[in-house]
Amino acid sequence: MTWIHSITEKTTYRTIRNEKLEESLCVVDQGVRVEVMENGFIGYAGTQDTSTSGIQRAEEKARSIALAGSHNPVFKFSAKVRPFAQGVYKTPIQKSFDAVSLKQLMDVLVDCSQAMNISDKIVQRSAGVIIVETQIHSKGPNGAETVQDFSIVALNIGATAQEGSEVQTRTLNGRSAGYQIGSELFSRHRLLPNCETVARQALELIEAENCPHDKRDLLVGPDQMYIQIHESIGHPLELDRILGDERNFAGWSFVREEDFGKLQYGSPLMNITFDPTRFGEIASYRFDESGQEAKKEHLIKNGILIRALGGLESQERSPVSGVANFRSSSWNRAPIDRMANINMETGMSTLDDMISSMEKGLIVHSNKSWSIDDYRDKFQFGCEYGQLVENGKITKIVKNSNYRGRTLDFWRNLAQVGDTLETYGTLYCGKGEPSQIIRVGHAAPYCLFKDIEVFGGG
Amino acid sequence: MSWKYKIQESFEKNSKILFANLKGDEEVSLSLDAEESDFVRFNKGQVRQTTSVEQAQVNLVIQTQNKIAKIAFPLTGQLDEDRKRCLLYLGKARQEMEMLPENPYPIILAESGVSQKDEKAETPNSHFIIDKVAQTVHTNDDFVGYMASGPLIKAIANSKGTSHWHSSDIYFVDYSLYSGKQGNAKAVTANVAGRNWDEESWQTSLGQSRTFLHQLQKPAKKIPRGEYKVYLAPAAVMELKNTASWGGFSQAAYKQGQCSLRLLADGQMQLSEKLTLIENFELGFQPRFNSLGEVSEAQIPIIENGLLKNLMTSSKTASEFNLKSNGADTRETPLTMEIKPGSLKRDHIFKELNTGLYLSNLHYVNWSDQKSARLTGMTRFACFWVENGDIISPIQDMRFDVSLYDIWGSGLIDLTDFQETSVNISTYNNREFGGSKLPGMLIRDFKFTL
Ligand SMILES: [Zn+2]
Repeated sequence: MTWIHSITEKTTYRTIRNEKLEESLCVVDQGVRVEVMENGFIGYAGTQDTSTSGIQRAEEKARSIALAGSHNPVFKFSAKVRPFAQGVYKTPIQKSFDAVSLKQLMDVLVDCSQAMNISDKIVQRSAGVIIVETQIHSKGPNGAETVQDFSIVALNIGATAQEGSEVQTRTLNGRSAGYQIGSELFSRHRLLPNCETVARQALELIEAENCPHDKRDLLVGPDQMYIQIHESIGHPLELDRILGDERNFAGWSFVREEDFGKLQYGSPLMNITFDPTRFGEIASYRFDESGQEAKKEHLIKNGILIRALGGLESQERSPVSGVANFRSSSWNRAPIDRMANINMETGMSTLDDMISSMEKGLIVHSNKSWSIDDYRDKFQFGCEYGQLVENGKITKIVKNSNYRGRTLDFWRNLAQVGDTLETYGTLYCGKGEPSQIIRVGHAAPYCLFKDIEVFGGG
Repeated sequence: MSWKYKIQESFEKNSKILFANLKGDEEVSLSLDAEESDFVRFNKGQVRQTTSVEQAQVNLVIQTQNKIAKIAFPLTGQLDEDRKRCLLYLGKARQEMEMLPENPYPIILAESGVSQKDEKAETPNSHFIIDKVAQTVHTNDDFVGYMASGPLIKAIANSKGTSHWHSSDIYFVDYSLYSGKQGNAKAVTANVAGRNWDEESWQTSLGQSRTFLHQLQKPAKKIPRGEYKVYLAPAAVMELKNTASWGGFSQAAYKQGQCSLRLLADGQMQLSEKLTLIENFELGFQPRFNSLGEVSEAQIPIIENGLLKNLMTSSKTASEFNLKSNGADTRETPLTMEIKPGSLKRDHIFKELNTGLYLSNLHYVNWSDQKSARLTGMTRFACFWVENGDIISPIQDMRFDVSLYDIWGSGLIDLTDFQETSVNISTYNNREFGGSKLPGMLIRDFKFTL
């Protein structure tokens, strides 16, 4: 059996720094991945020669390495790992990218840079966009055919303030401002106020005290929650990691197959979903690359772990239930279990309620440093912008805000969950051998955690 | 004709056609990154996935006196099709150039002559490695990892007559052996690399890994947080070097306030005089020409006896700040770093460590504080607690948070008198040239926080 995926992608990088052209690069990629199953083993061959003879050659190659692999396979798969699929997906957008000329886009970015030019102490002002337009056109046996078109934008907006030896950079959402969207994002009234805030907060940071080192309540903003979810929930729940595929590179997982349905991952307020259907979130799609139709599923419900991030291949290898998340970075890589949109569902608390409830606390915004071990347990995160809370009131801004902890302890200390979802996403999640970079979305509200170790720089 | 030579012919012929189509004061530089790769990944000594890839990307830079545009597109190896593409994307790049603002940092295209290198070998293919693993890896090895193998190509041609071609048939197998169940497992990691399959180094590597894994078969000891004397094996030093190279040695990062070794560059801090870092092309891992055809000196000292000598400086940064480029590519990261050896002999490592931690590998290292050059990360794979020069037991993984000014400064007791060479095993989007030659390090007061 043979499947053919034609993938076309155009990625443009446009950046203005200090009101001048910093970077303009357009990368056009086009290739075909042919997949052939022989004796329950799938071989993959990728080529950019998309002529009939090029595809034929790729098919022969894929068949030959499928046969070779089938002599000593990890698992002998059934045909069910590639279900019949038919349909289309297209990012819902208001305005196409063609509706804004390159000149108009660069002018907007110059204005963004200028909007950050509010003080001599702002020494660097950077305004950039990455625009990705991808089409995945898949064909399989018996007329199976899907076409999915994605429009994606990531914003890179940042200001660096300097006074003496003190240098601080503030960015828009810690560079997690990535969405499925059209050129409606490039409107001045949408972007310029954000630029001003970024620059003002960079100035605040060079005047700010260092974050204290102690244990306190931690209110995590949605643009830091995204990476907390990503690193300490998303990756450990990937079923191929649990099955050991990634142990030489990305790592294993503290989560075991027998934990599903039982493990108290976090407090009962914790509800985590796999949701590839959410409007505007960066990793929304209709089908994964096995052809499985994607739908929203709870991974953790009321704090209990119930479902893994495993596509159809992992589901055949394991008794654990999974989702439609078998994805590749492009035509030159085989699909593996990936995150898509992994979200924290909203709770009942307003932001004001949460702040008022904190006697001694810290609010953190926008990730700037991240690290976690290969089992996804001991983590440390650094954030751009911190606010101290004393007796229910925000009292000070602090710089170099960091916190660390262990995954289960941390999520079990979840005390309040905000009532408003914010959506973020990144283009850069790394995994796999050979390695792949893929886009993932994370929507989350503000969340309050008790007794977390926080510390500063220096 | 093999794919590699088809791509070579297409790149050489079509770049000439493209240059012949330039108008007025247009100049063009074309670089090529290409590979023909077999990837086979294994889990539990069995084959998980096999992927074969042919990919070639041309990076076109067009500039006039005051404008610039860049566009990248794929080559197929079919002469006619590729000629159409070259001319199509030349046209698109021109259109973009029109619409873009002025280029504030004009560069002069390199005139660095012509060179050609074709390092031919019989690299192992998918069939070979699948059989090899089936024959030589034992069932109880729990072997996991992958092979990447085949021709790797980097080339550049520009409209001023510069032309360099470097292709190298190479492979690596990067693997780990595990024992024990999830949650209580022990593991070691290693890799072998070369051009023609080297059975002896494969067997030696597997044998050493088995022995090493055997030494780990004791309950893991939980070490309380605190400061310990540590020995970092060369593979662990590499993790620190990789993260330090991420902005730490970049001229643009320095000029823009983003350099984590800013205080070192300013001369306000210094590192141990035992420490010397060199971007060393003589190691043979990395072609000396960059994607614009600029050719680096054979050796660029970065840190010499603890003092910063050079930052990696690209021609764009040089243009902006009126400096001299040293042939760095746009990312301004070292690609072929050597750290000079010290005097610690292999046989004396445990004796000199005396009581502390022997760390074979580190994991997920990231900057935790830019100003103080602090790095955080984890221990991984074979790490031991050592008392009075004897291995006592493996350890449970620990998180560290240390300043380079400490661990590569006053805390650096000695470096080993031997170095280990490693090829770059990064395969994000594409395989890469590059590598390193690094010693081990003995360090006091290494701070663990979790
Ligand atoms: Zn990730």
